[in-house]
Amino acid sequence: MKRIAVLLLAVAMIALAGCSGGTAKTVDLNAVKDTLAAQYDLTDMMALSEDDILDVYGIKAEDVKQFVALVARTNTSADEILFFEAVDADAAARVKEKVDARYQAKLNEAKDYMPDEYEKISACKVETSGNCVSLIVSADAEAMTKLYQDAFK
Amino acid sequence: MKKYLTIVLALMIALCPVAGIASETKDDDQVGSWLPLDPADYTKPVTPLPLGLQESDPVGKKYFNDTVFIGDSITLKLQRYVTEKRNAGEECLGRAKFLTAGSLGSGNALWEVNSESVHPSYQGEKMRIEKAVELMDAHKVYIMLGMNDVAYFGIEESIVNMKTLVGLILEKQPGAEIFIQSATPRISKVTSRPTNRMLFDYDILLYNACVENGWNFVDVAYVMRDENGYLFDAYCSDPEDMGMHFTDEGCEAWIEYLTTHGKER
Repeated sequence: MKRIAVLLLAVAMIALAGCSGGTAKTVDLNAVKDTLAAQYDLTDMMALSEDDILDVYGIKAEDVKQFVALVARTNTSADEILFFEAVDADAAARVKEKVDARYQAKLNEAKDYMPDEYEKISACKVETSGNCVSLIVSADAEAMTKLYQDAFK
Repeated sequence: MKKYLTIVLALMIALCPVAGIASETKDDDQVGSWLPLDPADYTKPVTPLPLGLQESDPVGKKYFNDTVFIGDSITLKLQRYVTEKRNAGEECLGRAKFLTAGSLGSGNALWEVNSESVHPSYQGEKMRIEKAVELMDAHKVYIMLGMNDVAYFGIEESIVNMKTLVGLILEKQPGAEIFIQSATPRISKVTSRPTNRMLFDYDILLYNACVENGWNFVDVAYVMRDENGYLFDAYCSDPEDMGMHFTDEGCEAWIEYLTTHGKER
């Protein structure tokens, strides 16, 4: 009986674990993006599609429950906002690997010819919370990250 | 008399590219009869006619479906422009794919892939260009590189590196048709290296390499240059910085040039 109870508890914890890393709150990532857009100028950014995230990041649609992927329209800005909610922990690990690779590629590419952008990228980081993976590259990354995190509270 | 000689000389220079184009369509044993262009013959960094593929009817809608565009941050802007158009439901360069990375050049593309290299990624995996072209099974390979080569490696070595890169691509994807695009110019107020003149001289030698090797040359730079050879201000998105990257208007001119300077099989 005790073993069954422990098992049920474990199943319940897994079911409840989402982006918040344990709380039951479900967050609409597009709504978070809208919140950011209401406070920061994102008009110079463009949204990527499901096909694009495979081409650009190597992230497969079946690994992702929902996502937001915004990149700068110009190639001279490193700004990028990525929110992914993976379907499970294994998928989240795969997504994290791809976003890490993207982050490193952005650093490498900016290093020699866009010093200001390189500094901006360097100040940002890939974050994981439960099955969610995020990367915000922006001059306002710190404040934006706080808004993103607040959405899960 | 002097005026007459000047006119004759101007005509000869103008006709050189045409002669080069003609040689591309001749039998291989006649290619050797072609005389390479000399950058020193051009006072300003402009040509009177576009080099390489000449204007044609717009290519068919499927023309770019088997194409990959390889390039640096210049082509990255084209990729973003095309992506935005497609995501808005507009047709733009068919289903052409892109292999781009900021700082990419034909020189560093030959280096080994490692955590700090700037090789482009295919589906999230950083890899050598020739491997990505093979995985994509691209039949038309459009390359625009040089901005990150000319100042670092010099013009001659940049040409050698481009030849090596194309050779590696053709080893992996033997049936691919190669389209080398000229490196585009910079605006007049930018004087840092690579200078506009260096880029022009590189383009001339790149054109020679294309004719010698039977590759297509797509002179995108021709439509980007003003009468003095500089990038049109309206096409430049970073006039206060590098003075080389494109606006949407520049991308539109680029795409227009590509679609009217194709090579239908």
